Amino acid sequence: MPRRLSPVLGALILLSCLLSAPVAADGDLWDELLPSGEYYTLRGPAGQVLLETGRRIYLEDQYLSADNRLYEVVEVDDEARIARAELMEEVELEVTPWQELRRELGLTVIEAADPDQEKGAIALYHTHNAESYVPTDGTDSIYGKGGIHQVGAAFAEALRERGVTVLYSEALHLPHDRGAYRRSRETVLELMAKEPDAIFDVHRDAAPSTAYAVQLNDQWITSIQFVVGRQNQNLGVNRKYAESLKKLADDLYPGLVKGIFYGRGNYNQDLSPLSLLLEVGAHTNSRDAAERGVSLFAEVVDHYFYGPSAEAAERGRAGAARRSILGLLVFVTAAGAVFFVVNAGGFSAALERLKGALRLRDRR
Amino acid sequence: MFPLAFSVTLLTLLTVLLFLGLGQRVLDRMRLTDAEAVIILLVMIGGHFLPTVSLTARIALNLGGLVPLGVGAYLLFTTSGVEKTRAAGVTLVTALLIFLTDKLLPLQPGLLDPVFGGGIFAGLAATFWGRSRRSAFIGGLVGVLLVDLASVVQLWLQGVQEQITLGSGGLFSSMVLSAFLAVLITEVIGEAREALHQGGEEDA
Repeated sequence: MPRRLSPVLGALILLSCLLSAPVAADGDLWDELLPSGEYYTLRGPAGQVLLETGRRIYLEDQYLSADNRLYEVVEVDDEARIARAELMEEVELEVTPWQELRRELGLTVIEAADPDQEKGAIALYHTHNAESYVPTDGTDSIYGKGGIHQVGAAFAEALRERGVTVLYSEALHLPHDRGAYRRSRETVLELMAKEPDAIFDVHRDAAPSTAYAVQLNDQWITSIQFVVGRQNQNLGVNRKYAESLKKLADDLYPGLVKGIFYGRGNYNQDLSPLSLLLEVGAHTNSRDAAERGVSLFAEVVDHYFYGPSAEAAERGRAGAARRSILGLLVFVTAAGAVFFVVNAGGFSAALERLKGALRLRDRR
Repeated sequence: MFPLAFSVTLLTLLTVLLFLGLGQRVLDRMRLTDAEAVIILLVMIGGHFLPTVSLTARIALNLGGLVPLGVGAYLLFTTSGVEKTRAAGVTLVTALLIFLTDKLLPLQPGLLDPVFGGGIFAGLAATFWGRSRRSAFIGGLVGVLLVDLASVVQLWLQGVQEQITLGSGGLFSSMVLSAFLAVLITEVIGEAREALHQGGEEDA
């Protein structure tokens, strides 16, 4: 085969593999994942409906229900949009202070809060800017800033009323296609540069109104579902974080958090361990109900990060940070030294190599 | 007490490890000197802190995004004519594949995460097209940028009035991630093929 044809052939083979992968049900090239009115149903062992969602469900996805039962998806029928899950365990939720979660990753080593600042910052953004609520916005998608932006604004306002600094990015990540998460990654990086305590990606789901409508304090609100990506190295910490928030929400406002969906995907949660995707209601709910629901959730967030449990964990943090900085320096130096010696093939060779490394070599 | 972003720490660690020989073979194949490689990494660290500026009512530019582009331009202009052609080809193939998967695959990430897709496409394309690490790097970098530019054009055509931000600096931006991932894939596949080839010769 002529050499010039090999890259072309390779690209064609790759393209044909990709095109044979599952595609959106609707043939329209620009449309959403599922057409309005279509959604997946996740059923439990007894056939009970656990979850109705516009998110595509894959094998090995997991779902923590409102009553804290963890299910794993064992079968998916993409044509009928029905998935079946088996019960894995009943989870006893507990609240893990967020400073402890960051210490698990060594992050308190490199960040130290201003001791005079009472509350930190919470960052918000929307990967899918166009998402809207049909009863209030008249459509499920507005190509630009959709109704979800007003839900985000309500979330931000509720946090600010509690004295929390909010970093709210309304940057657009359109077109409304699969590349939105690649584009929103840049927004996450910009927000992270400002060192927020947590980041939320605010979405809405696509499901029947009954899936999210709930009455709390004699008011109709929408419940909130967390989505945690399984394809990132922070999954363990993200799981504890999501469970902590749910536990606190269950105590403060039972029914506010309907569950935690552990789905295939990254959702840019590899960039920060305290990063969560929120589904605030569905396109079939009213936006006003979603705003009320997310405003209650703001209280949960404030309580988790800056409330009594957070204050207790704050004590001794400064000392722990100093010890951790020294510990990390020692660890990195030791690990680097071991790698260097092994790579060089012995101590003598390593010493010679170190001398050589100090003289910059020309590789051309 | 001083705050320090996690990615900056990681870049600093990578720079140190680079001095100690990590990635030596990759740098060799990209024909970069130690000094060039260290400067590139240090410049990436600096790019993380650059702000976003408004160019027009419709476009804002994250200045950090100019850093990896500058690196890509440097790699492109310090190489041969054949390599330039190869890099351009890999870039176009990468951009096309990213564009098609954005439009044809399901909206939510799952199969072939959109953050890593560019790097995978550029790596594979560069592997098929002469196993060029430079082309892989440039393809991953510029391929993502081209698709972002195409998205801006699409939004203009669809009458979206809001301002769109282009680019981002930092090691973990999608552009830079794609570039490094592409080089890694090209290197891994190339080494595997060499090992198999050598193993076949020994059996014979």
